[in-house]
Amino acid sequence: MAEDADKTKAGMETETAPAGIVNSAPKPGEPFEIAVLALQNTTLFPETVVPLSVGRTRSVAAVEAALSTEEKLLGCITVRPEITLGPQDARPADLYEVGTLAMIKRMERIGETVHIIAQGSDRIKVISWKQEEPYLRAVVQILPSVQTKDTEEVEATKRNVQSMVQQALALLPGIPPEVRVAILGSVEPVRLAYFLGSILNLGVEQEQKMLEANSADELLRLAHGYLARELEETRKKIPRGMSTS
Amino acid sequence: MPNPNREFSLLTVAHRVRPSGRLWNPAADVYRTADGWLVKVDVAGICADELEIDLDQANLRVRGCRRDTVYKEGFSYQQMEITYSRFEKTIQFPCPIEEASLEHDYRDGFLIISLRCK
Repeated sequence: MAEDADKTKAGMETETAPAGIVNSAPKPGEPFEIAVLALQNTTLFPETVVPLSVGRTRSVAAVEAALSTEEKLLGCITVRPEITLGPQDARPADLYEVGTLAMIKRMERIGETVHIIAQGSDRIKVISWKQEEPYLRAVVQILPSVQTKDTEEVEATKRNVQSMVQQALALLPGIPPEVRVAILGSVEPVRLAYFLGSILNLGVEQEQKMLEANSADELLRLAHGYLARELEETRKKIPRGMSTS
Repeated sequence: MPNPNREFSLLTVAHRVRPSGRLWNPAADVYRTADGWLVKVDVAGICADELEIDLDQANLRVRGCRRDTVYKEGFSYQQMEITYSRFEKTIQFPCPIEEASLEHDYRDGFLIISLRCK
């Protein structure tokens, strides 16, 4: 999963945490400052762990700033799909306002690229931007956790989603068993929806809609709709009798 | 608008995307003892003063945070494999424990919680 596209030279000096950058666990609703990594063509969801490769100088600087904090916290916000980045970096206006607070769990520097494993924890909303250079930094607040309004409807939609996933997996051989277990054994509807959002390759616009869903009901409905559409498209492309079980 | 040429795939699976909780979930052992339970949580490097331990019906919940207090200005990470973050560990017992007396100790990187049932 790539970030900010290219792999330009990093070669930067160590960034240290600016005064005021978050060094303790942020609480929901309380504004705090954080280094922001602009994600291109992908979305990081809460409750998922993803690997990211960071190559752009400014993005490496954002990761360095996050690593200099005691809890290794980083804001991950996606670049709007209508923005095509060339050699220039994303500007605040190019990014969505809602992203994900991530903890950097692993990091390794290979050449000029920094590889990280990030764990999404909470949704965040940008209140204001503090700087663009040497890395993006914003004041953000944690959005409330996604709540379930109608438990029965959410459970029913989750079962439908799992059923469709089973059909999709039959059409897509070669999926590792652990992924089947992760999807079909998922008990928690929100976690299932976020995981599907991460692996279905839906496109940034749809992924962002899922991220911005404020209820489990809306989130599951979106996941169900996108999955149904993708499944239908896939069936059209695969000749009869070609699917596996 | 969705890209009409995009193929439905689970490609990112190959890149080790996986579901997780919201927080770090440290490993724990649970022992039955003569008068209750003993829980050992693998949380080396935490600040013991920040620990929160709650009992609720049959659940024990431990919360805290492991921070990187070694990093200094002028340092630059080459590699990081230790998880630094808030953590929350909930252990469900087969019987109610909220009436149990609780003692805890932090030694050699383990949080040791002793529950004596009445």
